[in-house]
Amino acid sequence: MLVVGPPGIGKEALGYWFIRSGLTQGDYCLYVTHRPVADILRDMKGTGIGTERVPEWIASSGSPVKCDLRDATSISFNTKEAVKRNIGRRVRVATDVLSPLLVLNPLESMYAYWSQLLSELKQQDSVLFALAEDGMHPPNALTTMEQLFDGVIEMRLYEEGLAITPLFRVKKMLGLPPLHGYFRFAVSSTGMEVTPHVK
Amino acid sequence: MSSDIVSLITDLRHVISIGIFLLGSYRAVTIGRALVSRVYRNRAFWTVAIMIVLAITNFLDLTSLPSLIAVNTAGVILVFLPYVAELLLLFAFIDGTILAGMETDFFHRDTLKWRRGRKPLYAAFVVSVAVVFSVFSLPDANSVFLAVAGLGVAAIFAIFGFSAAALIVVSRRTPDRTMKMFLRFLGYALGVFVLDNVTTSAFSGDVGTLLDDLLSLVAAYLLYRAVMFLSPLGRVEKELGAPSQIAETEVVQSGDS
Repeated sequence: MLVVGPPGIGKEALGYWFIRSGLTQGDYCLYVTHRPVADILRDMKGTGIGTERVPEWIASSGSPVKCDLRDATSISFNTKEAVKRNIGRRVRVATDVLSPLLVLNPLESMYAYWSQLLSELKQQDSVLFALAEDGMHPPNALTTMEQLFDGVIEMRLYEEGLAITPLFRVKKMLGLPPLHGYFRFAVSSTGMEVTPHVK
Repeated sequence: MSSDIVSLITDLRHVISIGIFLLGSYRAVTIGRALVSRVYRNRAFWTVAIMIVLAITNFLDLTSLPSLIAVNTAGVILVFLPYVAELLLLFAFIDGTILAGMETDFFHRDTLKWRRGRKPLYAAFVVSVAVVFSVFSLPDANSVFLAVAGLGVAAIFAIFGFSAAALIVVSRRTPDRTMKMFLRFLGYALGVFVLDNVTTSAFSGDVGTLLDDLLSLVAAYLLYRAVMFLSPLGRVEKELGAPSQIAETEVVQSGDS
């Protein structure tokens, strides 16, 4: 699953809920991030998500395995190794490194990189939840990366007259017919509330 | 040019500036309410606070309220309070924005040593503001006090000038286009604000006043443009109908799959 949106819109919150949901169900959860663990935990608390149960981390600091954006190969290797150690379990991987890696590396190499990573993860019962900042890349870069994912959600603030509303739309989702229309969402301490948006 | 026309232009500048700041604060509050991330919400709400304070100080400049209130030392202090708040809030806002900008830099570089130098800068700024407004609130300030106040004013604008440079440098280091434009426009607005206060003191009479009016309007407009970059805004495309796949409100709880 790829979630695309500008900073602050709630992509990270959605990722935290995704991980939290997995932890509750006993799945193996891995969070791969270019930020320190302390920052993520602070954000999770700010979103109202309890941190008594936390995923395994691959982060820039605060985790046994480090995430170095200058070494994309090690990020992929460490992710795959962590997942392989949990064969037989359902696996959830959330990551915010897609955008930084796409900024720092050529599009062609990143397409091959993520294609290879996704195909290896798909050999197990696993879901990758990747976040992408749509303000950081040329449109063709994200469109290219979207082809790799089974589901793509776009979150954005929309302007209607003087009102500004956060909406998301499902650009594609494997196994579902095309979903037209926009959905309002609101993130609170109890979860995310979703309603159809009628203009 | 007749002083009446210059005065009218100055009043018009204040009115337009107040309109710009109120519109900007409305946009910032609607964007802030829609954002989820604490860092970005705070940035939006800080922008609201700054815009409102700037609108208040422009209103005070437009009206004769200050002269009615400043009849004694307490009245003078009361009149100065919004301007003191404006400067302190502005610096706190700039500081928070630079820190937020550095967070979006993947390598978390310390732009112009801002993280290390911000506490001494805060101290110098607060002391300078306190000195300047203390001296100006004195009924009979002698030349020594006025000279010290002058140094305080120079320090305030030197710090703002450094802050403007930091904003522009940090904008170059962030990969996010929206944050980049926000930081850049904020840096330009602050730079023009500093330029306004430095250059208009070099010109006297109507020329100085008109230059001040022009640069103030430019700074207000640049700040408004920065607000527009708090978050990219899209427009809902015309759809054939409302989504049918979700018939009622769904709540995704933390324990759900």
